[in-house]
This record gives sequence, C-alpha cells and structure tokens, in this order.
Amino acid sequence: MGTPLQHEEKAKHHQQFLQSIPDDYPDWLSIVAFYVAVELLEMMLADEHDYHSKCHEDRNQTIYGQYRSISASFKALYNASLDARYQPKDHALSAEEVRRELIDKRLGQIRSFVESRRKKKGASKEPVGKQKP
Amino acid sequence: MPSTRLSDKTKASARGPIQLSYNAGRVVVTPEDQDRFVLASQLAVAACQSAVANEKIAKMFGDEFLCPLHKWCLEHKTHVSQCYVPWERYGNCIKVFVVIRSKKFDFVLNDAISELEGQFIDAGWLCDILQITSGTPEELQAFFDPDNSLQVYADGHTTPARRKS
Repeated sequence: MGTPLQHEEKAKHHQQFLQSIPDDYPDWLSIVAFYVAVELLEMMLADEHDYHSKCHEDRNQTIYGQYRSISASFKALYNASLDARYQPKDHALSAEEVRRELIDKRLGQIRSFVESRRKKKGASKEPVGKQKP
Repeated sequence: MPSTRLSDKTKASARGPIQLSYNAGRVVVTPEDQDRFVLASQLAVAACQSAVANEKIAKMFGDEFLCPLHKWCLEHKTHVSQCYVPWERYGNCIKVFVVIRSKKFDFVLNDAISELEGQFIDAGWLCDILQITSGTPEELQAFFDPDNSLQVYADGHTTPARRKS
C-alpha cells in the first residue's frame, strides 16, 4: 500500500535498475520489467480509485475490470516473469526478445496508457517511470 | 475448506490428478474419481460461488468453466500440451495452468489466454490462467502439484504421475 507518488518513485527506481541490467541476465530483465509495470499500475489504481492490490491475483482481476485494453500486455509481463523466476535457464527468452516483446512493446503500452490517463487528469508534468538512457 | 482437508480425505483412496473426459459438452469423471471431483470443484470455486449448493457448483463448474476451457485447449492444441486446475486456493480466484509445447514463453498464446480469461471473468468466473513452458513433471511442480489438480487436457494421454500410482 502506498500513495500514487510513492508508487511513482518506485516505478522510476525500478526503471533505473532495468536500464542497468546487461543482456547476460534476460531473466532479470523480465522480472524487473514486470515490477515496473506493477508500480505504474498501482500508482494509477491508487490515484484513480484509491485502491491497493492485496496480491497478484487481486491486481490481475482489477486490471481486467478497470483497464481491459492493457490486460494482455500486463498478463505477458506477469507470466513471463514467473517463467523467468521458476523455470530453468534454458527456458529463458533472449535479452533481445525481452527488450523487444516485453519492455518496448508491452511495458511501453502500459506506460503510454498510464501517461495518457494522467495527462487527461492533468496530474503529470513529466513522463512516468521512464528515465533517459 | 482448506485444501489440506481434501488431500487428507483422498490420500488413502486415490492419487494423481483427476482426469476428465468430455461427452456432448459435459464433463465425464470415472466413478472412482467422482467424490474427489465434487470436492475439488467445491474448493476450486468456493471463493466466488459459495452461496450455491455443492452439487450444483460442480455441475456449473463443469459446464461453464471446464468444458469451455477444454474446448479452448483443443482449439489451441498446436500450442498446448496439458492443462490443469489445481484445487489449492490462490487468493479469490481459480488458477489454471496451461502447459505449452514450447520451451520459450509464447507471446501469441499469451494474447489468446488473456482473451479467454476475460471471457471467463465477464461470465463471473474469477480466474488466473497462466502458461507454463514445456518441462519435466518436476519442473511443473515449481508452479503447482499435478496430483492435487483437475487435469482438463493432456494430449489424450495420462500424466506420468498417474501412471506410477
């Protein structure tokens, strides 16, 4: 549980770490990308609904209910990060696949969605959770 | 009802996943697994259907959740090798594990899974459907216990765990 600002700070923190992870660790790229998405969505849920997810399943249900258009992207980040955590190394996606499919495409869609909603609310002065490389 | 109670009840009489078959849109369970199926169905849907009578729950669960899930697996059989619904509790939702043929995460199937999940949620079945990359039975156990699960789809074969018992 946290305020929208606290979640935003965590998203930026995770994003900085994500950008520091070398290609030798595609599993950690997947995992950290998922947690960037978690913080962005928790920020939005806290901001728009004063809602704080109790667990992964609770968050997933809420995303389906409130933000259906990004649910498939979030599902990919969630599921691929589980795979990265619990499956052997030979199941891992390549760093190139993670960067293209998970970070650029899925996390990118979620970030754009969050930013567009914040702009509509007039709450954001700068992009959320994204640092210059 | 905690999941351990079902495990205890069924431990002496049967082991392995409850294997389901399908006939004319209905779930068919072997007589030896019938009691386990009713109990497992109650556990799997208890969180979202607690007010409905137990046998009705099992029937609804079979007709409205397991049959469509099995049909979906058949439609995606080029990607899917097995599908399980454990009766352990995962928050307030039904967990589904779809074992895929690939050893790598399948992004195309992810979007199909997400669509299916949305259909179930819209119909009132709160669920979380996950794909698991192809692996050994031991690797599957990192995610769930097949012996405490409904086997919704399995390429027409029994699982290794069932054959051993």
